[in-house]
Amino acid sequence: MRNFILSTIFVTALAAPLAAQPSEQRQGPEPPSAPDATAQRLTIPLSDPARPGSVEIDIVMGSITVKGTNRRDVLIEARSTANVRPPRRRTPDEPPPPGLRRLTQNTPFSVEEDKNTVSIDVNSPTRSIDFTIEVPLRTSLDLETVMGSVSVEGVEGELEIESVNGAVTLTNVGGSVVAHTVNGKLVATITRAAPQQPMAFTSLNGSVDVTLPAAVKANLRLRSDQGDVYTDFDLQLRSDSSNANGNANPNPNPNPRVDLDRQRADIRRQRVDIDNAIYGSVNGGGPDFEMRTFNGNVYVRKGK
Amino acid sequence: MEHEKLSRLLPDGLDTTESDELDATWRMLGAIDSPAPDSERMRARLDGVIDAVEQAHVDRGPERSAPLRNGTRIFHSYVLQGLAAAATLVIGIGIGWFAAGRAGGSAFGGSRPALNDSTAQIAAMRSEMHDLREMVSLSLMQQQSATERLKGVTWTGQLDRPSGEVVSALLDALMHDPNVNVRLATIDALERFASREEVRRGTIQAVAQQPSPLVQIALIDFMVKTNERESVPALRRLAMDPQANDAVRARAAWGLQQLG
Repeated sequence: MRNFILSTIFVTALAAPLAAQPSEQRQGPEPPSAPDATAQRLTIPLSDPARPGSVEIDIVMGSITVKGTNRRDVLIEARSTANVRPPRRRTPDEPPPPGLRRLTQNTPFSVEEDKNTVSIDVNSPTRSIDFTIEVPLRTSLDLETVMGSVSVEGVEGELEIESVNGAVTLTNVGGSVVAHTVNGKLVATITRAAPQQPMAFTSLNGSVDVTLPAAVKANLRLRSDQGDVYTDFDLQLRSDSSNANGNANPNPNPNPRVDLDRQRADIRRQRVDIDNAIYGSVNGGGPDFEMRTFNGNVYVRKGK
Repeated sequence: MEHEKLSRLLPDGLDTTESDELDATWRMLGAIDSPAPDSERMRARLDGVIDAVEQAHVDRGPERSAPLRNGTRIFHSYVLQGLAAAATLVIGIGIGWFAAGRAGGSAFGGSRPALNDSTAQIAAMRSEMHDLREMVSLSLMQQQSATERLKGVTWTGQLDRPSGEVVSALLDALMHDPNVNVRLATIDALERFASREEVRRGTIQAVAQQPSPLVQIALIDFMVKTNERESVPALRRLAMDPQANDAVRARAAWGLQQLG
């Protein structure tokens, strides 16, 4: 049953000799190709273009750029980054010896479409490939890389973004965002927040800079251990961290167990109070938005 | 013995070794110990989810069974359906009780104490709503989307009396959720259960196994905040670990100072 719906497209054909490439590229817009890179383009149709699709990619080396456009399919452009190849390896641009043609040793990446979800896998983790992906405006993303940055522009959906050593940049995105980078900067401009959806923007060593719609209803949990927190929002501060999600209960709790738990936690908190998080609501409050970094600053800006 | 009787009845020309072997095999199979049952926690969670599904679908007929995804994620898109079904059920029960109360009242001259019934009924509905909210939180935590799982974690903060199942689901998310931000949120959610034994054990265990430096730091802060002295050996190992992130090592050393 699954096999009926599952359509797997391998890029074997596209990893064919370079000679075949120019004719293929002529059909689409001219790619801004760097001289040291090999670009491969691939268009993947969605099984149901009327519904929002999603794109998943999890790579080790390479950057990911995703752009929302008016298209109904997904365009993937992959570019091997030559400068991080092992030095003993020939560059792919080198012409084959006269009378010989180059055979493909392995496919650099594979793409699979299943029920509107496009998954991209790189077959060798040591290979550095930069991906530029064009998606329909309403698309959910799950993007992950270790050595590289992630940028997303003009996409609305559930966005799950993670990088270890690169920056995360989200420009004019909508929906809900759950983003993390360990060593990079996290900059996000949200133009439309999905109602009642929590969000999180976190980094260890970079700053977290988030612009939210001016009318957004949210409870913000802001925290920087070694830096500062800045905002131009009118933030209604709350003091109690355990009630940060708006569950302040005016009725006496019928269960003594929870009370006891709370009391103990309170006693302990009085002894060592290290919680320097700021909890506050904007525009009356809403879902929790967490913005947190250890070594950088946190900026929460009011959008236009 | 059945076997002996059978072999007597068999014609002499037949080779009985095969049936003997089969008999021996069955005996050996019978002697094998039954496999150890699944861990109690998994069982409890599975039972909880199955009960909830059965309850939610009892008035819609058994038209569907819960889909299994990778063997562990049982719910997929059942949250809203479950919610709607359970709401219908609650309304149905309400109407049923009300109708039965009236019918009983007219037929038997009001022998039934209708007021007590409705109080009990409200209490039952309230407990049902609580179970429902808990079920929604638990199933959200099993979703594929990180946003939904994050929502499930924050929703547990709105439960008045969360069951042990909710606490173990939070601990499970802290240990195994693939998303850093979801794991980070579970630490905040677990804070109000900090005095429970399983939470203390689970969070100390998580300090050693956590791959994300930001979550490690949040766990160190959790230990200091709850004054968890039993975490000292784990923090000491972390402070000495050359593989650990510099900021984490420094925070662990700071934590040891605070707890010492």
